[in-house]
Amino acid sequence: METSSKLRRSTKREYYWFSRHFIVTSLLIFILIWSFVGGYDNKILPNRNWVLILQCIVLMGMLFAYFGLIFYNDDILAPNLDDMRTITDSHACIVTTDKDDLVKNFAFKETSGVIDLPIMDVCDVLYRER
Amino acid sequence: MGLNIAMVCDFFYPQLGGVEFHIYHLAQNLIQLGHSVVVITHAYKDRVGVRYLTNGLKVYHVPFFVLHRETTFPSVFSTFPIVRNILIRENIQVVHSHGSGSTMAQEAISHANTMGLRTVFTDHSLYGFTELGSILLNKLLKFTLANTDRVICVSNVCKENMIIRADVDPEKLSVIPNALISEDFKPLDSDIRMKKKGRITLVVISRLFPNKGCDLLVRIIPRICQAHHDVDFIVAGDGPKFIDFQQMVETCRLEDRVRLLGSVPHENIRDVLCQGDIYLHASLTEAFGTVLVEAASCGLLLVTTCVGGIPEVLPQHMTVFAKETSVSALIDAANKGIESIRSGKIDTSSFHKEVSRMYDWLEVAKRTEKVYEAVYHDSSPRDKNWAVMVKNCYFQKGDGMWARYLYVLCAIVEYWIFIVLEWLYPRTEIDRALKWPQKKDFQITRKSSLKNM
Repeated sequence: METSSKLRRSTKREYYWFSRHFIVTSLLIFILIWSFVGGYDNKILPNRNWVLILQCIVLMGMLFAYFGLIFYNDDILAPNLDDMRTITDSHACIVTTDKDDLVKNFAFKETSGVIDLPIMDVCDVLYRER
Repeated sequence: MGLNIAMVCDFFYPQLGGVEFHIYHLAQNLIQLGHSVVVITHAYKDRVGVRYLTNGLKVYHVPFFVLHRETTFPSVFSTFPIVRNILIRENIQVVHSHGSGSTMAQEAISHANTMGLRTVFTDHSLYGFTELGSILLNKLLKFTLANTDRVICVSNVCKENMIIRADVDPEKLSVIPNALISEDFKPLDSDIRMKKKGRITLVVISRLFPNKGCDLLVRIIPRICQAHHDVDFIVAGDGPKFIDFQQMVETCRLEDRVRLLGSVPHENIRDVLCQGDIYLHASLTEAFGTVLVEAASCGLLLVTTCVGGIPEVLPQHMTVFAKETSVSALIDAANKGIESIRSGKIDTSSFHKEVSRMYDWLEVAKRTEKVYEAVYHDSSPRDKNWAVMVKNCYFQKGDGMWARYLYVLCAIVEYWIFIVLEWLYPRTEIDRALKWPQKKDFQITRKSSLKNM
């Protein structure tokens, strides 16, 4: 009983995927034919310029999206260098303790929660001897 | 000498979850073993730029357009300039990406391959084969993994899933499970436990997404509340399904018995778990399920669906499995669990010790280190030759003509962009970042600098 219902479901799936494959492939072939032979002297298909324009729009749209994305990330999402967000933020959980305790318990030791080190102490550890 | 490793993933703190904490703890323990690790993720609201976490773990929050569920806009190439800059700046040798659902992770792998760096990929979840979304994702994964040196999966089920989905050579695959910090998940002392006897509390902790079985939970909770008058629920977590839970509580008038906590910070998870006796898990797919291990470590009995990697994670005596993933089977399993807690048949006090012996992050880091060593051991300079990589993309098993041509096209465009970037932003003009010192080196330089003062 159970197997037969499963079987029925799987054949249904097969029909579904086959029809999907069939529709997509015929659409592709149709577009190819249209973009090569559609024209004024051909009474069945509309002017091929329409499909060419559509293809150009998609292609150029992709190009614009790529450049747009780069500029959007760079100019709108990235904060200025003097912005407070480059130093700390609302999610930060910053260690507030004296220097020795920081070096002993936080700077070289794992904590099980995510804890930020203060930027001053980070600079101190990285650049002191230079 | 330690390696310079970059962990790349879209998911990292401030978002909470299994993948996020896997990356964090793995990175921390690799640092402990003497490697240098940076994490690259996208910006989360106002958390932009570079942050240093404890142990000198450096996190790059790259400002990038986020499309859906905290994944960046998939575009194959557009993260290349910034990722290349970071990889050169940090002198990275190994790029370790996490999660096939993360666009940034997949893109970083192909960028790193183009730059001739070694790449490792960890997968944390299971995917199907028949939905349009997963078909596209699997195609993308095939492209990325064609030239990845090693793949790590979090459980054996995850490994099998990976082999079928992406046709990865099984020789390249390793299984390394997640772990937990067992000291952070200690159960309550037994005398405090005794005091709150009388009522039984079921805990649910999960991001409230459909794949976590929220639709099942919304139906299960009222029916269990109706059947047992001494049972309460605590639901922790947030997500698109939160509103369904609120509606369920209101329509069934369960305000006194079901507490919705919303999002709970990871450090408070233990306190939430310790308020309960049973952990209820209704997930539809799960590659590993860290939260199950955490719950068992806190001494809770687990009632769970038997899907994905869950049966491998914990021994039989800690869990009650539902026979199938359905409302009635889960209710049966929950009834069984409630009954055994009520009658005191199960002693959960030994769970913590057993779990702490099974799972440890340092062990995970050591095993991951072995994988990195294997990458170097088996490698030849030809692996990262562009012509060889294009060939690998083209001769993918089981892919149609269109997909293979598309792979080759993407690979070639990627190499072109690399050449343009080398010319536009030459390597020599990128500053190299200072590495966080080892503790002993730091103390020596500190003492000598104090003397000089």
